[in-house]
Amino acid sequence: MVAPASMPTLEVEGLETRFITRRGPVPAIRDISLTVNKGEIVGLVGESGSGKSVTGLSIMGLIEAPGEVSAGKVLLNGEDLRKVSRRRLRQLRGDRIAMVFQDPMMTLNPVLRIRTQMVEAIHAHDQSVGAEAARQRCRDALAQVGIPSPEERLDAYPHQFSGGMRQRVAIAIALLNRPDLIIADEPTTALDVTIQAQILAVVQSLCREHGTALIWITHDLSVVAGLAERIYVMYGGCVVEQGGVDAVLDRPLHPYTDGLIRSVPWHNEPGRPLNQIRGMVPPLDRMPKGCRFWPRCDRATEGCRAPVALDEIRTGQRARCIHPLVESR
Amino acid sequence: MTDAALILPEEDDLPPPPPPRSPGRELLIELFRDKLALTGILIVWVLAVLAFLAPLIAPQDPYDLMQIDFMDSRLPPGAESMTGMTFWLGTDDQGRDLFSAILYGLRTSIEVGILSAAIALVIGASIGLVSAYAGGRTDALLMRIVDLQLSFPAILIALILLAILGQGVDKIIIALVVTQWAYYARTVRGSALVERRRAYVDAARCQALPKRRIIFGHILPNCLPPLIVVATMRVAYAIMLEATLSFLGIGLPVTEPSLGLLISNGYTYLLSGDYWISVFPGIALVLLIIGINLIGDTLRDLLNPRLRR
Amino acid sequence: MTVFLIRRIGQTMITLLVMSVLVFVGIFMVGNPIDILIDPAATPLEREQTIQAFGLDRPVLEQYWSFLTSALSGDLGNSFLFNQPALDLILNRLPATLELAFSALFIALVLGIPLGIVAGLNPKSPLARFIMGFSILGFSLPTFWIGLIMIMAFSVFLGWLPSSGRGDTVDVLGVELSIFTLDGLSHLLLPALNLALFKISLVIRLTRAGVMECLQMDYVRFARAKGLSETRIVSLHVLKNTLIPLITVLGIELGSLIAFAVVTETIFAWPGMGKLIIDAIAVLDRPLIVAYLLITVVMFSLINLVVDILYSAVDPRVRFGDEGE
Repeated sequence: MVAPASMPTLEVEGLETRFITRRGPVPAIRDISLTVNKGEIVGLVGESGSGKSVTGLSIMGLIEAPGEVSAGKVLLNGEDLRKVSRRRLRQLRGDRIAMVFQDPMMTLNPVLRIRTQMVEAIHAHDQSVGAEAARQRCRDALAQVGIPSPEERLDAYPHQFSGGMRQRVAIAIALLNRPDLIIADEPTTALDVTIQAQILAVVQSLCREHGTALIWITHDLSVVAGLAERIYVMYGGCVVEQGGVDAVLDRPLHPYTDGLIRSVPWHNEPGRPLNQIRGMVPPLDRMPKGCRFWPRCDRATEGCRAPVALDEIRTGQRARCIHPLVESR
Repeated sequence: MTDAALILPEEDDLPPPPPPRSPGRELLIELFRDKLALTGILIVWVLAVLAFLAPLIAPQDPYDLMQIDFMDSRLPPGAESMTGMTFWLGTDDQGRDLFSAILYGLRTSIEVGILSAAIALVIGASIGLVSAYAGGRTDALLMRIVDLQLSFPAILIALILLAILGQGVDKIIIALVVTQWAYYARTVRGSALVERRRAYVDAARCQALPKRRIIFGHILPNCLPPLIVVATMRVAYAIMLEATLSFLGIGLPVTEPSLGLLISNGYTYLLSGDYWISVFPGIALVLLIIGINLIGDTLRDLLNPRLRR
Repeated sequence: MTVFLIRRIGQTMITLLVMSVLVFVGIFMVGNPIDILIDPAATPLEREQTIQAFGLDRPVLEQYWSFLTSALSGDLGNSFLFNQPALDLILNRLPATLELAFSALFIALVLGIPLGIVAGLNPKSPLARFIMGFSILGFSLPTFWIGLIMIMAFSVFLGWLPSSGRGDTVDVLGVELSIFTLDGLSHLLLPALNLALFKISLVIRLTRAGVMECLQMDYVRFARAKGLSETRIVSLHVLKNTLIPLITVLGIELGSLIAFAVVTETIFAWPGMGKLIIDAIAVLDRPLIVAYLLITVVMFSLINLVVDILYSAVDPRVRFGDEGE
């Protein structure tokens, strides 16, 4: 593990985002704090509705009405993205911090050529780059993500690419200006497993090569297992557990994390009923007060109805639970 | 497992669920909440009531030749007739009381508009459903016809039909139906196709429900939202089209009350200063159409799934 | 692309053929075929002669065939009203109508698109609401009535613009156009504006809806994530996606404008086809009606064809097909 020698690339403290509905404001994420160090790969894991995508968008400042980021700090290299001017935010986005989205079909504008969409990412931050130089950089970027015949591909339109290729293009665009941090929001969820593996490999090697920090948002534990160094587990809009990836996956503290790991079908012995976490994720406006998970938890007690803090239960591992699974399995 | 007692969630721990409301009721509540729509509803309501009470409240039946006197022609608003009746909005060139004429005209407009829309809706929706459910060649053929029909402007189609059929209220209604049905057909077919692919139809088929029940009981109710929007807008358009055709002289015959005819009668007198013959019926017509469109507009925004987040 | 073109032209031909049958059936079969081509005021002898000459006693298919062939050669009979070849009469008036229609389209686009964009960018702002309110007015006001009001306001009360007729024309490539003269413009302005009003609302709404839909798309989010300026996002990413579907609508709208010109021409006494057809319908001058219908049908089919070609040229998804991988 890389010892953080300098300021972390990203420091999020107490981030809270809510949506204003007809029935009042509904929090989507609460009290989110994360740290990503230089060149580190961090996983943000959770099911649908856990708030992981909202977290990613909130960090980038891409939350739009009726949503709003209502509290917290987002420090990128020490600069609070929530406090900077719009102009500064625009300067930073695409240059120091970049994002890759889930659906490769609609990330790229269908009526503009690839080259247009790539070159504009360069020119938005550096007007001085000449047309030929910009083209060269784009060509190289495409080659780096493993797209064959990049020269012709530049003049093509998005619909002429397959899903996996489009995602590679999106990654290439994200890497164009050598950002300090990339937030990847479930970039491989919509793709076939084999393509997924390829994209993971590409991203991992490029990040290592350029020293780019990465937040990989996913619901798939197997993906983070092989990719990330540390992970954050989210449920109901909060971080419920965080720590080194091996520690959390081998010896989870929070009952939800444990349930999640057990739910993966291949953990199951053939013939036995599949493990499941009973109940369902409640809708955002019907979240239980206190621990979010207690209605579905076998270990719940009266004390769980009060708000629970994220405590360091073992060294380097935190969980938001008053009944953590501290016995070894 | 720890020795902590197993606790199940109690209702008072969770925030109370919102009271359930049917989508229809939700829609009405939202509709009344929107100021523009409310204005529209108010306008239409007032005009409709006035129009349907016309025989009772109009001081004169302007299309009963016994009741109008040529000597009263082109009197300004507020003038009095020989018999002591006040012409609140003046009279036209035939001596008709404009207020009464407008009331009767509104009545005709509303009747013709709604009747033609209703017939067109039934025909169009049926064709749309059949087309969507049959699929394949039938669908392709029917939709080609619909597209062909829609690529020609309504007024042109109406012109042609009226040229062939001649004049008369029933002919106007036929013409209005022909210009409209294709919109309903296309809308319903579009919704039906989407609904047909949805899971609940497969579920219903698995239950071996008869086709007719699936179509009318399941698919049709879900096609209603866009249909309501289209119908509202088409009623307004039909009313305007009828008025336009009557204005041009090829719409309703002169013996029938029509706002369009009134306006066209008054056209010649506009430049000489007798403005009321054209302007007042025009205002009534415009209010009616605006009212309906305000409602339709809000309905469209409320029922549009793509603009909701 | 060529395959597409050939296929489209073929479809157009078929449509025209079908329409010719419909017109034939409608005009010549419904009602007494004898009265169609014969002036109601003709003597019995003239009737006999005309029946013979036009072959009205011959079988239907033969009649249709002779109708078709004579139509293609430009002979549609003489108008009862004017006693001149119907086709020539219509064609003479065509440029005036087209000038009016195209001007109206131009106004509708030039005013409608920017207003629609403004309304779409900030839908909840007071300006946007005002624009939308105005647009409801636009398609609720019947063209004929608003035309009257315009004449009253601008011609009678204010005296700024003439109330009827067409202005001085200039010969451009054999066609008389009034748009190039000042006098012509002053006569053109009110009618074109009148005709355009309905369409402006449509364009505003379509553009607004398109802009609003685009802004919710992922590619706009991605563009913001790249750090692009809002100006660029709107003027390139959003605009291009919004305008492409607008092209298809344009075709239908142009046709609709040409048809609706009937009303405007009547009110403003604009010497186009529309005024002619109204008079023709009133007296059942069938040759004229037939001529108008055929010309209109041909024009519409041509417009649709051109629009389809234009659309496929502009939308890269259609142009390059799905080559995928």
